[in-house]
Amino acid sequence: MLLFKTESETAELRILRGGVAPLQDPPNAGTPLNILVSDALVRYWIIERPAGLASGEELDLYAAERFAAVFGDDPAEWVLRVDPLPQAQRWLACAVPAIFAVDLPRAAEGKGWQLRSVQPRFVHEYNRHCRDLGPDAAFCVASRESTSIGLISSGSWRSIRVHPPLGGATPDFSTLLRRDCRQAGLSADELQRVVVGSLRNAAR
Amino acid sequence: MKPLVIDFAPRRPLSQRLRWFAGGAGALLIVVTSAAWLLPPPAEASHMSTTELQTPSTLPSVDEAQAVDAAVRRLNFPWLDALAAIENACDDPQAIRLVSVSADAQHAVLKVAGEARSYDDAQALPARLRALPVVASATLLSQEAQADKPLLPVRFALELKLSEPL
Repeated sequence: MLLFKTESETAELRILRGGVAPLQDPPNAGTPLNILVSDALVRYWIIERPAGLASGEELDLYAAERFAAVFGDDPAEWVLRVDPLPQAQRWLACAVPAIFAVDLPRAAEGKGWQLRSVQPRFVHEYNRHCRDLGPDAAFCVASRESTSIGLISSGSWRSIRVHPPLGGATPDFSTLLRRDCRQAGLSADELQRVVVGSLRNAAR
Repeated sequence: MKPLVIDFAPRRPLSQRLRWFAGGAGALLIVVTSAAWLLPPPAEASHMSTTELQTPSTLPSVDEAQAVDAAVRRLNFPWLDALAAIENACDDPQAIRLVSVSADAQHAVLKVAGEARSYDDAQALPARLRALPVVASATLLSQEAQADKPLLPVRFALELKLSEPL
């Protein structure tokens, strides 16, 4: 767990897979805090838009069922979120362990932090760059923790996978991208490639 | 592409700062709406300023007061009670038949027109009406023969002054 001070006087707490350090006290009571969760600790999946959803509760149940089917984990130990974009046929869903989405924010606020957000790294980076993305794109976050590749076709999510970080025994980025595109039925050459993160140069 | 609306931060009530802000905004809204409600609109304000310059005219004149009183009396005139009392006094349809009753509410006067079997019946009627508690006086104003009605050949008119101020 690392703590950074951003330019906007908002602290950023990065939760990495390497371990958890004791939460520090804020410099001043009420200091804003963003919590950024490494993609290595997050589960992503795509939900085919179901027909006949009557409420948000039904969507939550459906997302939990899909989460259990895809990852085999107990949804009760995770906090799930879905972005049900009205026009899209497929929605991005993700899950964060409850200890990071519930317990840690509660402890942070108990110490005097003012919690602003708890976001996975991929979601955070995507929101920073989404305006530059076209309807057919491959958005990648290449960090030292993981390599997250999200595929978008015709403005709709088609696939998202989290691979090991680039380098070492990991196949090169082009191989990872082609593999993901093949599984999603897409052509990698037809997608706009946007790579961010500390290892973005290794992806070229 | 649009941003993802995904945030795992617990959804919680407004922060203390926001609560203070919301409370202040609410108080300000109450003050503004109260002031808008208390201040008269321009048309009403101009009317008020005019009446302030002409304070004496805001009081009703004697004629206006009397007109108002008269209207009140007309509205409050006990028509049903008066008619019921007169009809009770003229309970013999073979001797007396009422044709019309009109009221001068301002003066508490009733004018009655009717037909009688004879002059004696017509002349006896005021005494019977004066026996009613609500009638202060009853005066026979006129009586005349009407040849076309052999059963009730006398046409009369009388005036009743009610005893109770209306």
